[in-house]
Amino acid sequence: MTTGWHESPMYLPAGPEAVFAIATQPSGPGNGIGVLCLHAGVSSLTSHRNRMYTRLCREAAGAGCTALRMDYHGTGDSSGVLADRGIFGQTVDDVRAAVRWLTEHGVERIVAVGTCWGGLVALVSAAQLDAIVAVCLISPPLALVEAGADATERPGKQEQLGRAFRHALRPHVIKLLVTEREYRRWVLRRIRGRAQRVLARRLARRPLPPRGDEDDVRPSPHTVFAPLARRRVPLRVLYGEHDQAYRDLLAQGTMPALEAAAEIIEITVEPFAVHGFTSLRAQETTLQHARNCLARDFGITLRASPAGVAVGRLDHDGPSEVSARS
Amino acid sequence: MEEAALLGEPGSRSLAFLVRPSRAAVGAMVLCSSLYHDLDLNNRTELMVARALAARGFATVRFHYRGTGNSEDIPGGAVTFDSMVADGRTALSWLVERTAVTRPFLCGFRLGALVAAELARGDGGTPLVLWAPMANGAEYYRGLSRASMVAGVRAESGRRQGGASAEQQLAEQDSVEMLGNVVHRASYDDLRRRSLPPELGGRRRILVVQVGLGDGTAQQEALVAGWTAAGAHVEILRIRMRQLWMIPDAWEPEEESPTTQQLVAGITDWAVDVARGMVS
Repeated sequence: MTTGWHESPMYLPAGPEAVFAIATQPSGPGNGIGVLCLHAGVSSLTSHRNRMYTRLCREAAGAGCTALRMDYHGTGDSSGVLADRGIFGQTVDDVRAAVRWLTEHGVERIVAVGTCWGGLVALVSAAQLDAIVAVCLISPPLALVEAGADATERPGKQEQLGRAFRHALRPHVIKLLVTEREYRRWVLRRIRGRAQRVLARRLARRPLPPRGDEDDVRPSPHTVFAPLARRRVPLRVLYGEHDQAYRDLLAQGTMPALEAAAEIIEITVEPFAVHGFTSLRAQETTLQHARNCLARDFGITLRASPAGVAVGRLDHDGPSEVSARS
Repeated sequence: MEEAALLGEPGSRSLAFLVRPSRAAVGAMVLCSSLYHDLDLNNRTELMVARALAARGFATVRFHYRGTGNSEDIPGGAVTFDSMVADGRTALSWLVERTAVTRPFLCGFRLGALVAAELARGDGGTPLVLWAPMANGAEYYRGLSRASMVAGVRAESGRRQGGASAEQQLAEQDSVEMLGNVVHRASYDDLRRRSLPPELGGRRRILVVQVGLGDGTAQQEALVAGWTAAGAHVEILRIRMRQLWMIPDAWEPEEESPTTQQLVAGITDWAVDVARGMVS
């Protein structure tokens, strides 16, 4: 049965930051289930590619769930700067603020939906927050967690340098460097700017950014999968077989942490690219994956909306929300 | 201060964001975004412009057109030029109501430049920022189609390319997929015939922000020459960066990108300078 819904944009306090979020709530009584949508961070909006999360949240609210889609600090319309992509500190606090809002508004159990890097955020958050009882991941770089690597940070300097050199050696770049004076000047300006920033940082001996209370370790297989396995939180993972994250996982070889959590992990692989969501097929498959998670883990059936058109009856009497932050 | 609100009639509302200074605003700007994936890619930079302007006393409203992003749907499902302009007017009214600024600046990014120019036609003295403007909608859809093919090749090397063009497909069906977006026939037919006007008034201040590795297109150059000949005061801000259509491989925070900083400072400094001139 579908019901009407209404939406409220808001800024949630998360420590020193204010994270932007949109809540989609059913007009009638809720069913106590929350859907928390976490995007990939980089160049992402709360709505996600082609309104994927807008559609998912409205479908979920139409089925009685309370849905929330959010921007982490430094992304979308939130405050702050996303200095690096480590899954600790402020990023986890951002999610904690969203979970707190959901539980304060009648939600008892939450499914976290995360795409790509947001999948890692969903995973780590679920390991730390008991209210998240199911995780739906799309093309997450799980190999990084398995390896215990800090690749949730930016690549190492050597890898960055190597990548920059490989880019510079591409024929069209060489041609531009040779023929375009303005391009040469631009490249030199960028190199000069970077060198100045690095030097300034070293001279100032800038300290590392402060971390939160519960992030005294980087995400590791033990801190992530062990608590989830103990609580039997289902992890439903979707990959495209062309996704780099999937190829990295296959290249991993032995995966003791993933294998130890085999009882709670289910991996689906589609014969096309999912990561990046640059096709309607990838987007619709992602949405169907999330619908399947809700159906299997909570017995909730969502009424699928066509691409670009939201489903369900709008609650025309719903509040026109205005929320402010200083 | 930052606010978010749903504007317009229930059932068809647009999401808008207001960023304003803590004291009374000395100026204001409505920023009209572009469509499809442009909205995702440029959102953070647009917010940086709004925050930089707020630090200099300007209030700014940005918004998602109905049928896009987090806004509510649009009757019929297809975004058109008229619906985009209507949403721009709603945003403009909200800005005037919240700040009491009587002549807000108008700014449009890519396809949004056509919207901003249309909104500006009502007042010959309204300053206008055309940020990486499309000369016309047809140019925009050509770029979208090309980027769609590039993304397809990068995502799946074995993916079949070619086939019917977007025009041919739209002759037979109501929508077509471009770069993972649904492009409705009604949107395509309407927007591709829209152009930046050859005349923008004889006393208007205009900033054209050219983004890319080269100079502006021949069409842009001709439009600028025409506006200047008609008496408008046109300035050019050149930002050298990768074309936004290309999906970036490596990530860095927008706030740390020197070219983004140059762009934000360029638009902000120009707006403050023009506002001072309007007062004196």
